[in-house]
Amino acid sequence: MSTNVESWSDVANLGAIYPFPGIEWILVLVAILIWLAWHCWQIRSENAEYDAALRHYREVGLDKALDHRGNHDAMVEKH
Amino acid sequence: MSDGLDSLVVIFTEFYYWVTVVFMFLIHVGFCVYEVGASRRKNIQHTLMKNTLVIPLVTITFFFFGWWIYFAFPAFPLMGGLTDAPHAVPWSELMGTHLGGAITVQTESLNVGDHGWWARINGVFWAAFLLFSWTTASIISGAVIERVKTQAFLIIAVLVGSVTWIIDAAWGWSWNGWMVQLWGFHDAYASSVVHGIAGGSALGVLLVLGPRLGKFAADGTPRDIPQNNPWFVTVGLFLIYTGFWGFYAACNIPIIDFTNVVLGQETDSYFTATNIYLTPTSLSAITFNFLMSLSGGLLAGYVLSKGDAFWSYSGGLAGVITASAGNDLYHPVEAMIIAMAGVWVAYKMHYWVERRFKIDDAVGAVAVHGYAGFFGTVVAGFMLWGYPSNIAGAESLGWFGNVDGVAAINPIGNFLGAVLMFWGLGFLPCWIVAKILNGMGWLRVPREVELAGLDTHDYGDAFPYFPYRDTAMEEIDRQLARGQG
Repeated sequence: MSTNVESWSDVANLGAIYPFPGIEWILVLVAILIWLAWHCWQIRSENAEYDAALRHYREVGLDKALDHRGNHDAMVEKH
Repeated sequence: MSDGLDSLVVIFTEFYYWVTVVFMFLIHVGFCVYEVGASRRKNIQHTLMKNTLVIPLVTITFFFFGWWIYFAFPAFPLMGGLTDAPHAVPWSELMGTHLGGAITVQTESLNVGDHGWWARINGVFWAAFLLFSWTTASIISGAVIERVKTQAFLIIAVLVGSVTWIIDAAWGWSWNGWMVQLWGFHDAYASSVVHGIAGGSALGVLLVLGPRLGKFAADGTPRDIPQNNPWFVTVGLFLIYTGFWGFYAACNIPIIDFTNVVLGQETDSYFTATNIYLTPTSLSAITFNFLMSLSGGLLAGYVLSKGDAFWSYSGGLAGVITASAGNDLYHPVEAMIIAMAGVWVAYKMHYWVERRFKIDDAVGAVAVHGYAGFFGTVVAGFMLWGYPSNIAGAESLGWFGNVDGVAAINPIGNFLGAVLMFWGLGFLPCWIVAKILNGMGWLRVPREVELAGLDTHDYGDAFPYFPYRDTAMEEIDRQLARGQG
């Protein structure tokens, strides 16, 4: 019902063969919303991560952060 | 597709572009490896993820609007309005699995024959252009490492990868683009179309972003920030060289009946490969010139940098980029010499701009892509002065001279084109967007995060089993943390 293809015998006259042809507008709209939502999530998530990092560095001191560069666990353990 | 020869041409073309896409994937692998090698250990994973996300974001946005721009914009604005491009809008049946029959949309610009053609070619042709888009966006990625926020870079990547570069391709990298028709612009393998605009875009972002902390001493003297893995940097560049084979091949149309289809003559068929302007060339021609310009660039890079691996390899890349504008037509030795000159320009400009304007281009992207691409496009205008810029029978006459009824390639047209791509479509939009992002606090990571390392709080150490060994830069970081230096 959704396939748009009932037989491969008349291949020369087959066009779109993906399921649910005719709803391309809706698919594109959904995809654009996913794209924009992804940016919104990524921006919030990244900024929250930097805020948390800043709070932590101010708490432990930036010197300690530099001593344990690239190794957050060690920084926490020695705090 | 019932005619044997027609079917063979279509399916060969489909397979040809598919192969170019696979090769070009290596360019992105190369950029990722190269940037990881160039980053300091504290920033490796942030650098990797930033560039990796170019792939999904530029892909989906190129599906949404990038592909349509290429076909809609060639005449706009100087030769007319937007062109109808029903096969390239994202809701078109032809932007999906299609066998060419059962036509539901037929317009003046999409007849029965076109339908069969685009049903088979659309996906691979779209992908070939998409891989150029990744490359263009990825070039900027290297320049801004170790201090840019991923969010800002990704917004700029979409802008450049799915909007600005494809506008310049529509205008100057299409047989019916107005820059080709009116200016006689010629840039067969994208010296400016891809590399010039990417370099200009990177420069626009860098100007707002500023240098990495510690890059310049208090008196303004630039410091060399050591790469964490020079071997990775060179392997990355080797991979980019490999992917460049696909890039070059993808710039061609592999087989076309030149006399009957391109020229519209009813004579014996003459099948040939053409460049993107539909003028004849061959894979042999571009193979000669690719290798000779790569060699010229490597030789010049080695001499200029006195054997430095980074600049020798970058010289190879800059050499190819410089000669690319005319590598469909140059003699191989011409390509080699032009490549050497381009590397000299790129190398000298990089250090002059760094000292004079305090621009911290972490991987030399503006130089290798931007300055070399700009220079190569200008050189092509002189070297190819007088060749027809596109096919006979085109309707418009050029502003700066004509030959065989079409605009002739000329120095003014190519200079204006290089300026428009580097400054107009590259530098300016990215500088404006970077200013906006900076004003919103989205452009640069906080100072403390940059000093501690972008991986430190989130990703962790990329090499947890290997102890750190401080370099002079770590002491400088400490001084900066204490408010000194």
